[in-house]
Amino acid sequence: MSETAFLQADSVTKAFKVRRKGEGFGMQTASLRAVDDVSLGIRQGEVFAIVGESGSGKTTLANLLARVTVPTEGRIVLDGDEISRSSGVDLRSLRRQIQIVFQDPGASLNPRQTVGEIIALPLKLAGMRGRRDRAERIAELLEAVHLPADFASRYPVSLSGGQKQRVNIARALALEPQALVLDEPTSALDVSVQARILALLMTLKKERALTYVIVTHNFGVVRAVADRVAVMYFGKVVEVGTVEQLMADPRHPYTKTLLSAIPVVRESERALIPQIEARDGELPSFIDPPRHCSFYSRCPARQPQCLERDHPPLVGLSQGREVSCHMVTGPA
Amino acid sequence: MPDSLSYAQVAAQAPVVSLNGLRIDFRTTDGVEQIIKDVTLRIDPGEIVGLVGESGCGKSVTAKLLLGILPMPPAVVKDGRIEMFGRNLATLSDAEREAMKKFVAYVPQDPSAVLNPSFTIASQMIDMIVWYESDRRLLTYFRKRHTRAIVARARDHAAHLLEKVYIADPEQVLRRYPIQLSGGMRQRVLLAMALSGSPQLMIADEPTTALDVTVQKRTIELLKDLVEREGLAGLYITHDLGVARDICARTYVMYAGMTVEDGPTGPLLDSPLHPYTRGLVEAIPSLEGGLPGAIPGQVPDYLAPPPGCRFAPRCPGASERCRSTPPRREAGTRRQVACWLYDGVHA
Amino acid sequence: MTVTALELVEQPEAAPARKTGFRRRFARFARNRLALGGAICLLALVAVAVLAPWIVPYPDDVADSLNFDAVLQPPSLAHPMGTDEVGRDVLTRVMAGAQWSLSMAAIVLAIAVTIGVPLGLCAGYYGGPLEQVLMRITDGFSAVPALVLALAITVLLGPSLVNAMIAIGFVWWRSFARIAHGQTLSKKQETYVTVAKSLGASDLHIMFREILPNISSPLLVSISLNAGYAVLTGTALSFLGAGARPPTPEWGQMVASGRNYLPDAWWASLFPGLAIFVTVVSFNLLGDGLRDYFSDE
Repeated sequence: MSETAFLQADSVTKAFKVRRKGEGFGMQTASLRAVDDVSLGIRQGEVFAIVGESGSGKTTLANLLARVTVPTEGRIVLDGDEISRSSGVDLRSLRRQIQIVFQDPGASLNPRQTVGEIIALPLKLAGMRGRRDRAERIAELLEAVHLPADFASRYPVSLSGGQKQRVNIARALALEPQALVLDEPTSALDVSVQARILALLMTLKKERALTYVIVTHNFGVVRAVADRVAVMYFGKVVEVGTVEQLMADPRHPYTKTLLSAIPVVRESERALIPQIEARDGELPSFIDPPRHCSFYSRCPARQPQCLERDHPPLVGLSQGREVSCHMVTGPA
Repeated sequence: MPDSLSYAQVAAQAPVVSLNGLRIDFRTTDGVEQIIKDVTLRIDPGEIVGLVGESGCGKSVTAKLLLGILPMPPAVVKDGRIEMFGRNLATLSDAEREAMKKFVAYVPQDPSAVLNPSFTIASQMIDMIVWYESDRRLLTYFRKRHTRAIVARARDHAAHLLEKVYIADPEQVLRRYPIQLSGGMRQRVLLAMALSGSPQLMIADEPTTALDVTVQKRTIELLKDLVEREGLAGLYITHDLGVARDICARTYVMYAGMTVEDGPTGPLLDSPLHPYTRGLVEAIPSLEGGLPGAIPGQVPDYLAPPPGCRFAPRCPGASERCRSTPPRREAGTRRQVACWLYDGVHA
Repeated sequence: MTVTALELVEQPEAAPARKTGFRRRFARFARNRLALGGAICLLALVAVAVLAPWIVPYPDDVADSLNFDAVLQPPSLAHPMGTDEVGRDVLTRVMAGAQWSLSMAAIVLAIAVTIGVPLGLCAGYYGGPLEQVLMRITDGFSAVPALVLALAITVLLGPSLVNAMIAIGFVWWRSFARIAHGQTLSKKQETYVTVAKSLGASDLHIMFREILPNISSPLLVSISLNAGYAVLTGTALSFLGAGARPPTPEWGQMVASGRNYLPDAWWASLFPGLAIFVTVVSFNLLGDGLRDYFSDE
């Protein structure tokens, strides 16, 4: 986390109240920390990836960064301004700076609205009154995402997965934001379409000097487009570094496990990933998280001391790397 | 219904599945969709064969055909030979075809589509085991399902099946409801259920797509182990080439209703022959970095597909010849390609 | 080998060899023969209602007219549905009555939908105490049978067709409110609603421009089914004397007047009654057909 961070998360926590049967009678309210004390700094102009499996909290973190939800603790800072609790007018003007593309391209489009109406919404909310002005802008945006102009009168049902995603991207760019948060931008798409969307995203980034935060579980995507990456597990960040650093020398045991599980397509690439097995362990309880390292139950490199100590803090190593592991950062 | 296929007859047959020049049309209100143009596929006992392709290529249709659940009024088999367990399906009676279903097990993508959230795992597994024992006769099933001794025996069998899929504490899992289990565990239960009828062929349709990548790895290892131990044959349908490489000895690549290339999975992916296979492999981001390549164009409209090779409109190597359907040719060790670029190349 | 994605322009989908959207949808609806029949009947009814002033055989007979020579004549070529107790042509009055019944249904539904749908939308969207209050009010209204409540209101306001329509409208909104409420609860979880919220759209926009178009299908079905019952209730009120008064050619009223002459002059009550029957059944068939049609999507 450096001074030059453009988009920053400061000790951000997002907790959800959960009701369940407590001891004795009645329901007990417990707190589920989907994102637990996360601090990240994203630099302007970079592509920052957030990787994790289901339950890691990556989608929640994306929503926090883009101010779709509000943090329970901590704050989100964009270009020097705290945006954690913006609402109303502030929120609308915030959308000129940062936008989000949600996970399911089809579900993100209102089936009863045409593509033109869908893209027009942010324009209308920003005060663009003239219908002709909006139509012009919509045509520009469609062209930018390589869709023909007459798509404006189409309904989402007649679009393919890749085309739907392009509409989502066009809508996100309508207000010319500086940063885009993308939640699994290619996961729902066919392989050949994924490649095209990634290429489109990188072209747009270059043309418009954008900053990307990409949430994904697909390391191939990370390798293809990301500069730096944060690995999340159980609501916490366990490792941060450049993509090269992480692939060449992953430090956290979970990162190693994640990389080793990638199904390799080309034999020549097998040497690039570590060979390591996660332990078959029970996942820690979300409601009653352990004080010690949350990866302990599945960690192939664990030691007795890992059980005795608190969850390891995220410690900065050389060259901008950060790792949260007692075995790496040394004795207490 | 007579079970004219005795277990002994079935077990000795090879190949398990043989599709030759399959062509299927699908009647819709808009016209006739030519969803399967030319599928040639073969599965031998003891091997897992992959069927790889993107959405809409017809792999699910092929699977449904083998499972016997492809609705035949809208779908019509126009050409080709379908053989399962050595028998030509066209020569079988309806009853015999029904009896054959017993030997084919299905592992779907989404466990929650198969597991009823309102019943325990034990209850659902016992249902399946007793059903298979009842020779698919409804009254017999009801009688057996309420006979204490039979149910107890079925429960033991269920526990045994769960052990086969490496579930450490079968009793605990049996007592639970599907919602109490993790995704990976649910998939294992599904595998155990698929084994309950002592199948000879297992058809898995993207069974690990919804799973986390670390869980996926374990599930794949389990599948491989299972197939080997039980002496099954498997058809593994997926769009993930890396998974296919991991689990399938041989793989078929499908595009727009055609099997365009097949061969041992490793060589297939390391040196693809068909332009589509090549494009597919290049579209997967390399772990060495760089943007993946893309395949231009779109999947054809099945109502009015291009004549000849269906990939031609998108193919960088297309020519006039491609207006007629390319023949399937041998191209290397146990490899085949259906492409004019390889016409004249022999093993 | 592969073309760089950067050079691509997305090709529009090849001109589909499919029928255009509307024809295709109509063809799918029309497969349900009964629904189609209902729709055609209603169209005919609307045509009659609109064109009535010009096509009735005896325009004078619509309202007041006395013709002692032709009192209570059985159906004949001159009077295919016979004449009533003051000599008016029944066919004429039945055709004219279509205007009344259909406009009554339209007004009732307009009132009911205008009250019920926004109420249900707000209850579903905001939740919390507002939802509880609104839905409990709705439940309260549901406790009383529509006819009884409408009767009470018309008696209070004074018997007339207009009052009857208002009364029924006030009673009818409950089912629309319930449908809108339930549908809103499920639709507000949809991703496109989250998108609109995150863009800063107002609650009003989200309710009426994002959610409402997506719940129109069950509402349309309900409107069609309810239209039939609205007509029925209206005619019932008139039959009871709390709605239209003579000499208005309203079907319920006609059935009531003709009742005195049963069973000899059966045509005076039967034909208006038949008209009510056909109308209500047509609305029902249409509603069922719409429900089947939408549930296939």
